[in-house]
Amino acid sequence: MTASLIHTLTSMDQPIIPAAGDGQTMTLLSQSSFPAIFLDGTLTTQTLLAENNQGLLTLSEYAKFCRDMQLKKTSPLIYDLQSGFGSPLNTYYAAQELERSGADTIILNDQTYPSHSLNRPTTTTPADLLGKAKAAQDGLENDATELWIKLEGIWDYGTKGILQRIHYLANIGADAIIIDHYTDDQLNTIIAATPELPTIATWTPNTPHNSGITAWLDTGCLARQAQQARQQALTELKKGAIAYAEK
Amino acid sequence: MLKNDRMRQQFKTDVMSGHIVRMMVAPDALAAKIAQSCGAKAVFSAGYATSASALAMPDRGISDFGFALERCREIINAVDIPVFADADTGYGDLDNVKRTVECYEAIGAAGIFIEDQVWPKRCGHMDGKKVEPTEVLEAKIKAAKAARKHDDFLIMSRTDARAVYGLDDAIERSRRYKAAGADLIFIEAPQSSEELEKIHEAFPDTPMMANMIEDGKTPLTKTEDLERLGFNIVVHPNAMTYTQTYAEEQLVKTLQRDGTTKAYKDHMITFPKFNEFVGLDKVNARDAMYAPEKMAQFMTD
Repeated sequence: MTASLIHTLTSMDQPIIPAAGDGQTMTLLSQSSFPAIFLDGTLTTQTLLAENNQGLLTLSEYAKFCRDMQLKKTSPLIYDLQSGFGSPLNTYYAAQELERSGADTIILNDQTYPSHSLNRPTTTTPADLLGKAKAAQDGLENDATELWIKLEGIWDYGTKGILQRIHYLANIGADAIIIDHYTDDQLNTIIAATPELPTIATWTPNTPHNSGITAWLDTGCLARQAQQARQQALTELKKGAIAYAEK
Repeated sequence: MLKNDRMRQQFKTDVMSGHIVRMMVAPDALAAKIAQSCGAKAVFSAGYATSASALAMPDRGISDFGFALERCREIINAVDIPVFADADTGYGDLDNVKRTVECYEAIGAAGIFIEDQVWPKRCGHMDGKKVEPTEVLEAKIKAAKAARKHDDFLIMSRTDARAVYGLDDAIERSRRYKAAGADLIFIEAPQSSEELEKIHEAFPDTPMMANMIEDGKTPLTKTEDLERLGFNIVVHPNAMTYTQTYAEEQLVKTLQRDGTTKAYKDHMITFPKFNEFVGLDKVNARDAMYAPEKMAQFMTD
């Protein structure tokens, strides 16, 4: 669908890439004009398994969901490779599976397997991450399919560790990196060091502006709003049920 | 060129080449890989075999779209030759046909056939079939053509009317299906060589498929004879399923009789040969490529 999503994002004014994990949100976003849509692993786990832990969602379950969503595709789709669903060998086959399930871009995170939906997840070694990144690249058939790496261990390896990993990932030919679980100061430090790869940061509605960022990756803003609305509707439903019983 | 594009193009070229394309129906990915390793130019993913391998059930419309699509996808991913698919009745009305086409095209099938039986359908060589009015499949063929994204994703019409209303009706229906846009024609279960000839005479310029079922309604005919009759595709839908069933039955009987599989071992592939066939060495080599020590080359300042 696009030769280079990251190039498109770079040419825009810090676009937000929205996250979806269910068909209705996907449909809503497909009818809007976002440069891409991210099918987030945690949101998909909530939809398919009624769980909050992305590590419970297997590749085959997620890929089936992705294949159904790709039929509704109107803009590039970004899929969640999590931490490769196992070893670098698993990562090779997982990347292959997600690409043939419609991925235009694949995000590999640097957690250990299984990946978790935590603020301070356990991350793997740089060598293991590079093995997975290389395996994911080798698994891809289409040269236009991009590999982005989400670095989730800034709480552990700090900004120095982030910059070191970005350098290694640039050596291996990753297309972009995503910084997650950061503080504003940490993000400023990273941007000030002029990272060697286009830099995306995770986003919530409270995230302050940062001029050095290429794009922002939503973490489920619509899903959280929808859940709040459901809870409010549930309260109304309970009130209605009580009123009905009283009659 | 990406694999899906390559497979569709390759299949269309082969079908239109003037030489017959012979396809085994593969019950599963392993069977498809065997067919490919023996030189098959294409394989078929079809309902009788999928129903048997996935559910151990007859082809009576119990196995649904989900089973068929996933099995076909597994087969496509296991081989590097085109895979044509049996899409039964399209699994519902025109909305279902649209989804069926979109999904099969997305997984990389070379094409599909859609038939005019009443759902739940049954194997074309079983008794008791019912067919829809011709208009139903006409509309489905038009919907399928409208839904496909690539012109070389081939749509085949299948009629089961021979068993219900006779060959002339089956031919007339197929004419209307062709007029509705079918790229390929399949008249299921003709009952003699003369009927096979009559089908070709009715469609001298349209690619056609013949179906060779052991113990079915149509006489088993050699591939070269079908080619001479003008058929472009011949499919053997049940042979691998029957062979698997027979062999596995003999194996279990041997084990029950002897308490060991030793007497049946000559009918098996060996452990090393099987591992070689499924590519264990290649997988192990790939695993080794990403070992931490191999990544040191990227961990430089």
